[in-house]
Amino acid sequence: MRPVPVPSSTSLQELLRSAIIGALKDLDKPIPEDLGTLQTPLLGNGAVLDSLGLVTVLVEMEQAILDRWGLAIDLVNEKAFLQTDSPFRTMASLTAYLERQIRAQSLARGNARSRQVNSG
Amino acid sequence: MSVHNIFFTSWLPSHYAEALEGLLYFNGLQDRVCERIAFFVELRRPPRIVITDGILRIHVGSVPSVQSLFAVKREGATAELIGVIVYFRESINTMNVLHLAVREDYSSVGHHAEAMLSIRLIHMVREMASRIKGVSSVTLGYNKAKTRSIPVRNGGHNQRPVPQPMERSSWVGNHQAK
Repeated sequence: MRPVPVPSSTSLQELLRSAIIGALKDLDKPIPEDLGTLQTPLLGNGAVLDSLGLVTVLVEMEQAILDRWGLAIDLVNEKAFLQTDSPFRTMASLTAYLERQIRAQSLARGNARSRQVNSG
Repeated sequence: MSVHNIFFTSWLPSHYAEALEGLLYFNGLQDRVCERIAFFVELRRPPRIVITDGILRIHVGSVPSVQSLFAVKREGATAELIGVIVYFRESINTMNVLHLAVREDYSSVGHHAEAMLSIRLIHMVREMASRIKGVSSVTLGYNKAKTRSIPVRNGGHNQRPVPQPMERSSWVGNHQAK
């Protein structure tokens, strides 16, 4: 099993945007016209989602990444909570966080495979 | 506000009764269904605070074995109640969140939004659920018509370190309710 190529920022943003739209629909909330720009706030003042909406988006993203790239990542974890600048603050920060998580998981999977091959 | 100052406990001494009442019944977020899972309250009657042997417990109608997890902000010798999540095991494979309330300043648009308190509380329940054999999802209610099921990874076989909620003996000693 080789490391999975890290998807482009654009495809992650698109995935994120549809997850946000799905969450807003679930919560019967209007979809802002400018949704999807990198500076769209996801947390704090002006956030397009409330907490449950954000949880929904994160769960959707975990599932989408598992379905598309076969990578099981935990977006909501203690490390994320402890970061000074929350990765959930904006579309841009969440996209960057997704890329880091995917890259780390992909590398870990590649390394595990290498160990298996070497020991076999 | 550092998230390091926040801890979680399944046990709360009785002198927090007023703070808990404020959180559950006089919360400015009451009209925002998504910060308080009011859907279940309508169906199963409001949460009731019960004091037993100096310990606060939350009962919800006739729902058996309701569990609560409290979020407390510690600052020096004081410890303030800032959030609570109430849940129970609805079936062999489902954990159901009955109620979620956070103090206004810890809501998603509050001054301390970055603490992500609601998300952390849901995360804690999800992590605990992952340790229980057979549980595969945590269910949240958005409104009367919609619920959201959050999958629990590795149902019951999770080997990741989980932040443990503090128990009775661990924290109350000198802390004062604010």
